[in-house]
Amino acid sequence: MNKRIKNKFNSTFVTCLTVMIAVCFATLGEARPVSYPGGWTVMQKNDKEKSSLHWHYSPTAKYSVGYKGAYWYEKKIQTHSLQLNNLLKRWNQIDSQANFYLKSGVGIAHDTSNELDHTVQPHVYTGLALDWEDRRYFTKYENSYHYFGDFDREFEQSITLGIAPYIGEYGDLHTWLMLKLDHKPDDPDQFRVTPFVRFIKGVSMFEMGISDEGDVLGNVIIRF
Amino acid sequence: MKKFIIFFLSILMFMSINVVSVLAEEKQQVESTITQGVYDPDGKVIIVKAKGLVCAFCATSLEKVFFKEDSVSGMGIDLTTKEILINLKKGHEMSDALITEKIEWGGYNVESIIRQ
Repeated sequence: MNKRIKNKFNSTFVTCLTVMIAVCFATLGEARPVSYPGGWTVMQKNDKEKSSLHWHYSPTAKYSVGYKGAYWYEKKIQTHSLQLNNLLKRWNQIDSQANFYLKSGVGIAHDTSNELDHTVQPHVYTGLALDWEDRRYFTKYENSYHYFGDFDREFEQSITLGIAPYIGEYGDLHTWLMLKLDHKPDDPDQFRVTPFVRFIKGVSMFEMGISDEGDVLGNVIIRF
Repeated sequence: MKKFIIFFLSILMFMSINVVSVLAEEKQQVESTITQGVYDPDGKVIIVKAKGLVCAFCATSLEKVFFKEDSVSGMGIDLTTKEILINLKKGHEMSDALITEKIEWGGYNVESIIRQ
């Protein structure tokens, strides 16, 4: 029993330490901004797995820090975390842009079912994202590892591809036809395909789609 | 001699009218390009070509960064040519170093800077 608790403590400690090191290292890296300095972003996302609200602020052009709250439908867990997004590297070309991000967070996971007696566990996560886009095409690979204390652990990764059916000018409504492939190795249904449409107008972005399993995806992002 | 002077003055007048109309046309073009802020016809115009300017969010970011400078009167961004037009207020200046710093602070890189 003692050994089990010790192993669990070690595992939690190692995960927390890894995230802390990654966060500190990333902040010192050659990061470029995602949002402009002093910019706020609100993201509200919904899919089969969870609904989340992410509100972040970019104090400098190198990173953003914010609150992320989520409800995980299948796990019946609520999470509240402090999330740090770092743009580790940006490659600017005359007609394209590529970005490499580190996204990490620390917080709590709260069980909302009666089964676990509403207990609270740590929630620690980290993940990498790499994207490339020009005005016609968009590609993105993203992964993340979540540690929910005694509740669960989860690794997921996804690939997103997009094409703009027309090239809009600045100020126009921009439309993208997107396809997202999610992979969760521990899930019985390991792969999920979600075609969706992305609209961008001014500082707002809206995404709407439906997966091959019939689950609805709906995301809203506003920058100000 | 008299004929020559009249001929010379006529050419000079014709060229002056042409120059004035070209300048007016250029100013009109600059005015129509400006989408944020106001056009100051007496202010200097700078055109910056930037790398990585591929989306509407990128353009908005650069507008936010440049409008923090008091010297900026108006801006216009063309995503096709990747050109950022900066119209300064009358009597104001902006160095290449500051422009480069602002663009990089916004997350992009400068390809070229042209002053009109």
